[in-house]
Amino acid sequence: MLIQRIEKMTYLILMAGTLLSVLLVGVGGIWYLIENGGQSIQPELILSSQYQLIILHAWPAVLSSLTLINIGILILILTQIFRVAMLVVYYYIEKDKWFTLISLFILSVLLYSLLLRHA
Amino acid sequence: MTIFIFTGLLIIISFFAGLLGSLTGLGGGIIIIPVLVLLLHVDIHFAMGASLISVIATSSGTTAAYLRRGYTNLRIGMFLEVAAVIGAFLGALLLGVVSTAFLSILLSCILFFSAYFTIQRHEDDEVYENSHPWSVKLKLDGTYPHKNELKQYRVQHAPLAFVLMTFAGMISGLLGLGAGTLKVLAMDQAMRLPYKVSTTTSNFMIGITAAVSAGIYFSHGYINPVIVFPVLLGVIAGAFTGAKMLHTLPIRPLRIIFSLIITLMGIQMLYQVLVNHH
Repeated sequence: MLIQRIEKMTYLILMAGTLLSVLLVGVGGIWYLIENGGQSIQPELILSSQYQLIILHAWPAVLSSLTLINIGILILILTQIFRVAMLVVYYYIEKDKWFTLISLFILSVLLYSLLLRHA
Repeated sequence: MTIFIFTGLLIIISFFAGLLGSLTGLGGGIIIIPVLVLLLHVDIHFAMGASLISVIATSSGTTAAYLRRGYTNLRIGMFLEVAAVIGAFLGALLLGVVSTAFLSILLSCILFFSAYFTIQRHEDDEVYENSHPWSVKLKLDGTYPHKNELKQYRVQHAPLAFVLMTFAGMISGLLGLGAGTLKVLAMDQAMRLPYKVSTTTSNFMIGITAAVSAGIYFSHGYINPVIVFPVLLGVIAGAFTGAKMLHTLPIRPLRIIFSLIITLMGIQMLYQVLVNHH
């Protein structure tokens, strides 16, 4: 049955995506600690919303390990997007008009929120 | 303190938050944010961002298991998720204009609310003959495994649940929580679903709602990898451990401890707001 195949694929994507994401975050994090662990914690690091700009200008090397973490985070979000996309396909194949629209709507909100660039 | 020690502290805190969260079913976000803000003076937005990311991860991990067991009602989940993502989107956008004090007060309210509902007992399933017209049109009724057979259930008050879910989504977007409690409430009280269906379906929805908020948080710059990295790893480890321990521990005392902790944190947060405004 199609629903079972979709569910199985969803399960695999969720697990694989989450695992990959955690791996990237872990590796990036350890890398970051190796490079910066000994430094004392700067207030900007934990208090300001402008920290990204500060880091960009001050420590270019740090950008790589933090970027890896960010990629891991993005993949986590992408697994959710992918899972909803799968449901769109499923409901479309099942010719379920309402739920194709419902899942399509959710998918578009997900994509829009990710691609929205704050003015 | 060094970054190394700071990170270590975050991992430990997150581990216990994840552990307690998974044992009580309330999620770790609700503990992490106040602790990070009160104890380690982390910006509340960063704390919320980190909490949100952990929520996605734990939701993904546990959803897979529940889907297979047949409790989750995908149709109800997707139907209500429409409301939740609208709410989350609005909530996350509002984040740019509300004050930190407002967030702290709102968070305190949610803390007290969650503390209260954790203690509540759940009624036995009532039996309904009919469903709300929306539920019939969208075919939301379902069955779930109960004592080795598939038991049918009906779905009530779909519009009300939809509205409640928008509110739950806004809380999620505004505070970086999973808002699982509110979601379960909407399904449990409004739709009158069996408890296990409510909790597993809520779990399914949480990841999607959090992803919407996270997307917007990214553009606001609230996702701080330095904070997210230890919190995510800690929470996952804690939630995983909690899931393993679930069978061996008595739930009731845990819920009481949990309620006490978050009530105290709610009071502390309110106190902080008052102190900072004099």
